[in-house]
Amino acid sequence: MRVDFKSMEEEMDQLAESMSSITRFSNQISEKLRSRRQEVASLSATHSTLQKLECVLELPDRLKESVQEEEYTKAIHHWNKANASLKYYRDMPSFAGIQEDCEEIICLIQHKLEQRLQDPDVSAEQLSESVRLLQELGNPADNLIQTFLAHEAVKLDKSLEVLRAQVHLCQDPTKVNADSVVLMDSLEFIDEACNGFVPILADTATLFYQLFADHQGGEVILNDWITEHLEEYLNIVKTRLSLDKEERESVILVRALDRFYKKLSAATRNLPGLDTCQASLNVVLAVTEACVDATAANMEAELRENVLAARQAIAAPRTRMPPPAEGAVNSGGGAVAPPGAATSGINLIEMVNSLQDQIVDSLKTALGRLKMFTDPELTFSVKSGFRSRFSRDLIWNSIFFKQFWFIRDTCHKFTGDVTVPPALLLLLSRTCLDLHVSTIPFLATYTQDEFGLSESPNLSKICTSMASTSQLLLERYVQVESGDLSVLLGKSVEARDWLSSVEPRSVRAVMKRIVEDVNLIDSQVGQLYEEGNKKPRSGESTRRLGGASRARSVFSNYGNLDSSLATNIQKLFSERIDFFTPVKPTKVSVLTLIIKLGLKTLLECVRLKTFSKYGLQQIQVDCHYLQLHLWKFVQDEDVVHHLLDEIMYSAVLRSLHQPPVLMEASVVEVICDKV
Amino acid sequence: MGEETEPSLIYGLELQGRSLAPITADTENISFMVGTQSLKSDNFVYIVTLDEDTGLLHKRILKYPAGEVWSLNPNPTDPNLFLSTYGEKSQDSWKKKAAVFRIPESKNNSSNDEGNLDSVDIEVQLDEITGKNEPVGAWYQPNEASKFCLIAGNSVNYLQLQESGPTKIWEAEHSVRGQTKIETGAWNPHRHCHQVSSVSGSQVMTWDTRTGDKAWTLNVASGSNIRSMDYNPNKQYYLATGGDDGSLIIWDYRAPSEPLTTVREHSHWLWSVRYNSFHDQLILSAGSDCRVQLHSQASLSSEPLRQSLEDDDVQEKILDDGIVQTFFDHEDSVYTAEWSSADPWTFASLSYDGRLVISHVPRSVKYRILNIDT
Repeated sequence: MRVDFKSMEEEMDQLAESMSSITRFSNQISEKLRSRRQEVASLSATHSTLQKLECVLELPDRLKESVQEEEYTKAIHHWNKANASLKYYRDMPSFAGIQEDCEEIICLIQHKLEQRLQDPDVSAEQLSESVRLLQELGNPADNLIQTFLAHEAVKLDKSLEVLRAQVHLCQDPTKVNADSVVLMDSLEFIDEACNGFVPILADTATLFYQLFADHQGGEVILNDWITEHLEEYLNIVKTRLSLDKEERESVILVRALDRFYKKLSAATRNLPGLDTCQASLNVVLAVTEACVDATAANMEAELRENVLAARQAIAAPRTRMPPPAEGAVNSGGGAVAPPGAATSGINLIEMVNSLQDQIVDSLKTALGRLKMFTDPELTFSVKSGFRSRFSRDLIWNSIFFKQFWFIRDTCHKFTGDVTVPPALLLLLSRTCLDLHVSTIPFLATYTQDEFGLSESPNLSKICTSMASTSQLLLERYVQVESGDLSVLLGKSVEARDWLSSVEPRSVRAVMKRIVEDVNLIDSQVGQLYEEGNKKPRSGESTRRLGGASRARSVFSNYGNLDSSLATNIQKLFSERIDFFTPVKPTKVSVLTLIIKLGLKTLLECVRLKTFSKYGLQQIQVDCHYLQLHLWKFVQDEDVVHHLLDEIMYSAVLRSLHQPPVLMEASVVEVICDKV
Repeated sequence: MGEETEPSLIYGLELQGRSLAPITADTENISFMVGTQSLKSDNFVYIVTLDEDTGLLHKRILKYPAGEVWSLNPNPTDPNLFLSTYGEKSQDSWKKKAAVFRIPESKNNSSNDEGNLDSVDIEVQLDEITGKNEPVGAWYQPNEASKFCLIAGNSVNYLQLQESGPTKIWEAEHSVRGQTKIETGAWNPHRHCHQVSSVSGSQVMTWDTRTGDKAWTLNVASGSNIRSMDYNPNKQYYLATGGDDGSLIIWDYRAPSEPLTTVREHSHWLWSVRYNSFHDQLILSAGSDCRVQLHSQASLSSEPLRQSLEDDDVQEKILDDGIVQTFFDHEDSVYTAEWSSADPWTFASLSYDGRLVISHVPRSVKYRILNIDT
């Protein structure tokens, strides 16, 4: 074993010896080869330098080639690679020549790229390539942004121009034939608007972020630019949609608005820092407002028409002729055209109702139309900014209150109009009263329900105003009707020679006219206003037995009594007649006032005349006739008695024959009964 | 304002009356002339003087034998002369006439007994001038007592009184749509009174007294008759009319198409409208609704504003426009209401039943106008 180990050890020693000799030889070889290797390395370095040099020398040609092939990217790539070394070896004349050549070419490329940016038809890739390359060429980003945006603006303007043309066309449809443009409806318009402008805007923005991502402040510039164009765009859309005033277009309009709102919101959602929601909602609101205003204007026009129609219906001559011989006024009455005859056959209550219905209908229709704007399907309708403004400003102020104030103003104007037929005054007075009492509160509730509004409006101001207008119109009616009666009565006294009257055989025709007119007024007012309270009559039975008995006794006494005593006694027993009692909305009140004022005029006229015996007796007959027919119309028949007594008494005072001779009461009654 | 109003003095005439006029020639005393209108009894003219110290009314009753008095217009310089229209009655006829009357010197101060009364006599009969036309009224030219305007029927006459009798300077006709009777007349006190107006129906026609030509016209748009008119004595071109619709209307006659203001406070005819001749803010109106109303139209007066006492730079309103007071003293139609020519704060009104009321402007208004602190 030990021997084995020994021989093994010897062998190992031999191996180590031979290994070291190998190493020695190898070192010798590599020593010898080193110089060679260095030569090879320097040779290969020289080769690559030569290659580079070749590249540089070829650069102008390559660039030219790329330009010809419009492969600007490649060209710029080469140029960028070579540029550094060229700059380094600039001092060497040959390199300087190459650089000059290249720079010339690069200038050309830059020019071409810039030209591309000016060209509106260039594709998006080419555009982005151009911008990128120009950036690489070291053009300042600010300039590039401007150029880029200007390029995009041309496209936007083009699409805006299409929209603008539509607006013009819509404003003036007569141009339809002149241009080849066809008028689109709102929906088509919105499609055009959304498919044209919005994608361009979105693309531009996307591209912008790709190209100028690192540029400081680029976003602000972009947003300003977008805002500017968007504003113009929104304006156009607003103008166009606001032109849709026809009622039947509402459905389309609402859909168009919805589509517009949705698309614009969607398209610009991705743009950071830009909120188009508010802007587009504003457009929606503006268009809605225009639509509301148009609706209100429609309602106003409708009302005007309806009132005019009512006026014409009242003023139109009736087919029913007034009683010919009896109705005609004799010489004593003067030639006054019968003012009541034209209004006799009119069904005023029907007209009031139909006017009311028209007012209600027109408001309901308008609200129905506007209700479309609140359809929950619509994206914008659920926005709180829209909801609150729509209900508060538009529904209440621009429609509801505006309409009723308009009605009130329209009616109010008639109180100062001297040409208006009295029946119209009455009709409008009643209408205002109804509006005040029931229609306005009803419609307010209706509106609230329709739109689900919780806030109830303050109606007190409009209602008060409506009530006072109603009162004014009624006062004006009293004034006009009593004025007409007064003219009739006044002329009938003034134009007659009372000193040379013949013995009265009949009631003067004008008195019959008066009674007829009062009857007519009674029927007119009775149609529209309730009866009202009459003072309970003291002796119902006496009246029935012989209505004139009381009056006769008073009249016949004048001759015997001392006149001043008579008047004093009379004043003791009769209340003072107050001409100032405000008219109430009842038939009796209106009639009382008209009759009071008319009789007062008769009194004044009588006092200006002097009467012969027969003249006085004629007045006696006339007064008795009025007494017989007028008492039933008034609140307190004593008022009529008292006034007629005063007329009679004044006529007695103005009688030439003192003591005056009156007609036998029985004869007066016979004469009055003859009628 | 009601509580510090001086009480009105009420005096009842025996008979009906519609004529009342201030005695303009008497600038010392608050005196009015009132005439009765009765076809049944003898008529009288009352000269009523208010004693400001005692507050009592002195009355001088004069017989007016010519007939019933329809209008009175005292001479502006001679307190003993007046123009009047009257109804002369005979057995079967009645005729309206006009004349100049003379008040006799008072024989004895306390002779108001029926049998002992003086009577006014006709100084100049104007029958020839009026002819067949029924006289409406006659008005002395305020600045020249020898001349006057007489309106009869539809004719306007400008006359001069001479020793030999009345001479017609010119005559003109004012007729509106067949209306044959002029309602009333009035002198424009400005520019030496060379304008006189007549009212027919709803129209005011004004004449140039120098030529007798039409100067200008004015129409109430509503067509309502005018019953009374008066010129603003202190503000040129301004005048007031009142009429059958109860409205008091103020006009600038240079712009006659639109009234300056319309105040409708009477519920029946407005029979009389008068500017206060000292303070033209105050206008008096009376009507057949038995009411007399004192209006303020300060904004349209000659002196709408004045220097404030407290602050030199402030112009303050003297009075607000509107009714100052309504007087309810009458129970019958009031046909005339007239300011005293001597005292700016006193006026008289006469209702048909013969009630004469002397009233005063409320003290607060008086002090306000006089700018006295109370």
